[in-house]
Amino acid sequence: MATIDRFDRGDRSLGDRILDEYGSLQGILFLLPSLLLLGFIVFYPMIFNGILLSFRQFTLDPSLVNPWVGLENYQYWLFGGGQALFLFSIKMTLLYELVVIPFDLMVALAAALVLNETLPARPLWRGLMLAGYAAPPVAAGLTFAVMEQAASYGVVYNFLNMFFSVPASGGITSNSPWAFWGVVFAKVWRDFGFMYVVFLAGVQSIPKELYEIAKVDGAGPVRRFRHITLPHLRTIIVTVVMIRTIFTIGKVEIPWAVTQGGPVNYTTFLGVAIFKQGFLNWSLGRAAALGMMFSLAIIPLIILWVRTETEDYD
Amino acid sequence: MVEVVLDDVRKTFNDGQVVAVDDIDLDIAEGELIVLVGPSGCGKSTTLRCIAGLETPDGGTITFGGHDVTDLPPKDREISMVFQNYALYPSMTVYENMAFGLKMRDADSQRVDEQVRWAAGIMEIGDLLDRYPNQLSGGQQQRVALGRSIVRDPAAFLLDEPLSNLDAKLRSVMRTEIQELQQELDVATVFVTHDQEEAMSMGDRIAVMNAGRIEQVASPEEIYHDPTSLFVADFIGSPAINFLEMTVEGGQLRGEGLEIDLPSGVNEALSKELPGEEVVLGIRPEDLSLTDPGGGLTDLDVQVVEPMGDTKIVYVDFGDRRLNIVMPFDTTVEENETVGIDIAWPNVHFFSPEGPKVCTWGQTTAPSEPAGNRGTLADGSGREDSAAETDGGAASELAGSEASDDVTTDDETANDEPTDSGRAMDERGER
Amino acid sequence: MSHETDTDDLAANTAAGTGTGSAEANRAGLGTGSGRSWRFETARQGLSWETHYKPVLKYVALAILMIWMLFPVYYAFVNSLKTPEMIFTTSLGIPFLTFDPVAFSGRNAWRTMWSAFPFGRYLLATFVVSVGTAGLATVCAVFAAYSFARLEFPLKNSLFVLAVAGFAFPIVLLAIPIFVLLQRIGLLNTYMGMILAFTAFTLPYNIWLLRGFFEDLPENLEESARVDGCTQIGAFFRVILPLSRPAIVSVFIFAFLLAWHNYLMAFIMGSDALHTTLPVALLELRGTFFVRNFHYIMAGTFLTMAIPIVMYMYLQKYLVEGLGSSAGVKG
Repeated sequence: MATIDRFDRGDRSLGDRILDEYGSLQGILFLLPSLLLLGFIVFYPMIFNGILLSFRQFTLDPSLVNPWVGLENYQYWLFGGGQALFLFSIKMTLLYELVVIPFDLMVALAAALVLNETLPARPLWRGLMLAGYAAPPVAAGLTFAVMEQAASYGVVYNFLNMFFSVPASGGITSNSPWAFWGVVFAKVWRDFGFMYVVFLAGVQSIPKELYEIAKVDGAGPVRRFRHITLPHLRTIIVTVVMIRTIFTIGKVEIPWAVTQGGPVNYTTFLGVAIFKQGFLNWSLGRAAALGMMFSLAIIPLIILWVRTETEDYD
Repeated sequence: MVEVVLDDVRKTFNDGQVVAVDDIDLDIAEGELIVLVGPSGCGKSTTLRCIAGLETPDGGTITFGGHDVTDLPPKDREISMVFQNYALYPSMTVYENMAFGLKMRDADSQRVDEQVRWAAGIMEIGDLLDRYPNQLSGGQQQRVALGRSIVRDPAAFLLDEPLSNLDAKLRSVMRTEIQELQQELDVATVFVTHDQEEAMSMGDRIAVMNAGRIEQVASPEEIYHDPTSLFVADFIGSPAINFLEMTVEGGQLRGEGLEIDLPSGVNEALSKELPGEEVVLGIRPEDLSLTDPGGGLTDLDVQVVEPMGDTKIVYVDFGDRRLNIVMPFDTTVEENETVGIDIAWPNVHFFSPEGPKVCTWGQTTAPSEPAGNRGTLADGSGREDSAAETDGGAASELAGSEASDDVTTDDETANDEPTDSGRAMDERGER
Repeated sequence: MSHETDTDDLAANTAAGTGTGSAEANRAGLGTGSGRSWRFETARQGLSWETHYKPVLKYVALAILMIWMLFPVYYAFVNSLKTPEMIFTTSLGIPFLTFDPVAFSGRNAWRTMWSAFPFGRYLLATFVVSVGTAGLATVCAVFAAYSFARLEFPLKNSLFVLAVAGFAFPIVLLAIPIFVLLQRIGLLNTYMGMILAFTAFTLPYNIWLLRGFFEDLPENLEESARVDGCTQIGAFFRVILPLSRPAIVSVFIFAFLLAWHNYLMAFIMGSDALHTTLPVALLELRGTFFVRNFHYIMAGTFLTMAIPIVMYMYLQKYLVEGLGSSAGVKG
């Protein structure tokens, strides 16, 4: 039977005692590597370098001092030589979001509904539907760029040219209204997978009984979709549209791979503008200033999103 | 001897805004099975978790066998615990699950093997040792969880609603099995449940909890027949106790057109203890009986009759209260029939509207018959005997389920706490 | 679930012959005799979508979706097998798998791409960076996520919100300050610098995924382990980690893919030949004699796409769960 002094633990290890006395230390310790990395790579550069850079004329030559120029970089975009590009870029970015997100949404919803049906080898089809999302944006963009050339191999160009007359010199990617759509095709192909997966999970979570009751009540497929599927997915749709809006706005890869921002600056969305300014023209100060203004616009969106995401937890 | 003593234990959450456990005192003798019962949110699980060390109390002390363990982490308390969802480790086989606690204590592999096989033998799960938890049925998982908790020879055995995920039949089997297991292990055991029936059938003693406090700790019989508060009377017993709100005026009980003379002992107690004139009568369903119309205290219409097999439950409306009456199965009574009802007055409890019990009619100094009951007295006495008979039947049924092997522990309890449960029972027996 | 629908369709199909539909018929059968035939009539109408159109339409829709999804991959693959001359004779640009003996005798892009361009080195660099990122991010995320899910410490919620918000911040906005920082401390054109940067980008998402997973585990598991003799940390290592393998694997894959996919930071931080990753190499190749290198570009593109697609297919189940839960889909 139990001995009386089994609870006398005079010999508790130092580690145990430290953990008991500084219980919250564990939490911080576990978090430390991540905090250091995020702080060092994301927050420190973002706050200090990002802000300071935008007030400097910055070149990469370490022997040169990078003189402070005050608000000059901002002035360049708002009132100076960059103003036209700045305004045009904002317009195109908004247009891009307005076209890509609904397009994404419709394709993803259709794909989710089809793949929620009973089909032979369904897991295989479900997996293949993610091919676009698995592919690197650059590879996707490059493939579409090739397909959009006005050449014998330009399958998308040839197809579109049957219905519209796309100028043969430069094909889709180098002629002005077409290039925009050229980017959109690639973007939707590559990105709708995220929404598709989320919708698939959402559709699967709808209780089957609801559809059975609706069938018993004589509701047809359209009504079932409108009165059961859509209301059930509503919060999911809102969340996903928010995520995709934020995540599309600053992405550079696909526009860059398809059109390189062209023709001229036609598909130079804000992200592409920063990239070009910083790493092609190497005027990092101006790019940073543009980035700061972009940040100011996007931070409220991020806060809104994080709030909706975390409110279930806290 | 390892007995578990809780002294003024207090636990709050959200920086003291929510008081989960409010200054609880409780002692559990070695070998005793005590049941913590109460509605959800009453603090019973938090109390258990304080004993386990999963929560650190804000105040008070917990001692095991005289040693203060209040600040010890769970791993140093030598307790074992069974959770409602069993909490079997999904990535380990049954054998590994059971061996885990011993391995954590650096037991050598031969002893681990011996102990696991011994416990598996007791729980009859010897042929499941190589399976994973997700390959087991609910009942089997329950057995593994119990087996895992006994391999270590624990100082105290804690069970947190372990039966609530099982179906009704399996639950009653496991009830008996846990009781047998507990007697064999002979350790202090705390069993948490929200099911009063489970509590009544299992506990050596029952602690009824409400809003973080213990309302009453006593044997099942005493809890049932001598509840100390409205809450306990209401929570324990199925079908539920009947409450009647009445007033005490001039030595009489008045309400719903009735005027009943109180015996002096009752009247004295009531006028001394009650805050005002209102009083709540608590009458167990078996303490009410049916008479011919006009032959009882008052005449009422039968609303519903539910045959339960061995008994019949008759529902009548009395004012805006619906009363349940338990009658023998062969009572002939129809719905919408007008019947008289009668009350076994000695078993009636009087509660202050604020909760605490003031007295029980039959336990005041001179148990006496109601005098001056309007015109119903002549028949009243006769019928009361039959009521007492039904009552006696119910009591013996309860005692039966407890079984005679509980007698020893009952005695121990009685030593600790010379309650009047014994006395109450004696009185009942005499009557 | 798939089963249920299956039998339902079946029931509906067989029922169509006798003029009743499964659920409707049951209900109609309970009705009074006089209304019965009328009810059957409506039942049949309601089912025509189920019995006639839907079974056909769903295959048509699936075929369209699949062709659309897989065509670019197919396009890259088939064109990689052709010589530039052959590519320029494709009609309408739809490539077909034709076997050119010349192509297979030595001019096949898959044989010569490794010597024509340093594809081996690109592949190696991409793998090193992706595996390094995935490993580091997984280790960091497991601890951080457990900390957020189960441990108590000051400022927990604020730190979590900050960490998650970091993920939504466009990389292009961070590119310039990070470039300047890494240049200053000499981590430009090093694997270490690339791995650290990619890890920082992928971490918030990984932490978020794993936190959700840990929070969904019953807390009783750790409590049980603590009663059995573990510390909280011991319970984490001995009980929680072993059963988190699916979640950890999917986080590893996510981090791997983020690094594999990334062009922007890889372009900025790995500009020398030794640290060029596949996406960077592909866009550089496009600029050089596009026509002559067409089949190499297609081969490289296919290679860059195929490896993550195969990984996705293989781990489809985990990833679907992970992605699905990430958008706040509950239950």
